[in-house]
Amino acid sequence: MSYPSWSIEEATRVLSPMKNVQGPVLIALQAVQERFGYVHEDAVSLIAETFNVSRADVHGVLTYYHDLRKTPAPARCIQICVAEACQSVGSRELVAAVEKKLGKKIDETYADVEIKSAYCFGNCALGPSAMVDGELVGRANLEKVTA
Amino acid sequence: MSAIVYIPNDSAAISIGADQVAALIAQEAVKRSLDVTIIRNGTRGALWLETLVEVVTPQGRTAYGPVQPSDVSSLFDADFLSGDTHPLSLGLTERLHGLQVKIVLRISA
Repeated sequence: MSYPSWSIEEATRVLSPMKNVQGPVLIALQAVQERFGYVHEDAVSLIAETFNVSRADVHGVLTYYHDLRKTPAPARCIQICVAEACQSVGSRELVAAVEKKLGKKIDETYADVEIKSAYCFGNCALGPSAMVDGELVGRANLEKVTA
Repeated sequence: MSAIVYIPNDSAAISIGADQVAALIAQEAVKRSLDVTIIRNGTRGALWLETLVEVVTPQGRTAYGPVQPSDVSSLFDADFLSGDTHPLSLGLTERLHGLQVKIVLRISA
């Protein structure tokens, strides 16, 4: 998915409808990420100023949630659930197969692809579960995850 | 009269292809000049049967599942819009509820 380059004017426009929202920091960070694909470092000050909270508050939320990104995502993002239910139906084997096929290790940083472990998408009945470029994949296998 | 087909629209069903199944049923209906109305509903919770496709028949809703995108053509060949049998036939949906096991935990004082 392609995103526009970071622009403080565009970010201001994205945040402007939220000025009266209670507890806006997480919603604002999500809105910025949805627009630009990640949260640019300048967005921290912008959100703090817009909603009259400290930069530390914004930084705290940004670094707490792993799904909020501080850098643009690589072309392909794969998350594989390795929590108990998915492990019981083969997610460990799926991780090994994906690592072998793509020649990458899970939870390490690469420029072109990201394979991350995840701990439950709430789709346990259809495990192994994975998220590929933001799309939930049930009964995941090597073909579905690396298609 | 338009045949009514229910296809779940929740994230669990979508994760295993409900959107593709819905799109293919719509395409196949056009190809075969059949009048089909697709209604996206919530899941009945029988996730192992997803994608659970239901068709309205005079006897009630008839279920088919788990339907994969590759099954759509054969469902039309079997005239599933009339509730006819197919290897994925599950019978009347309301009878499926009788197959579900309900576990109730009771906390004693």
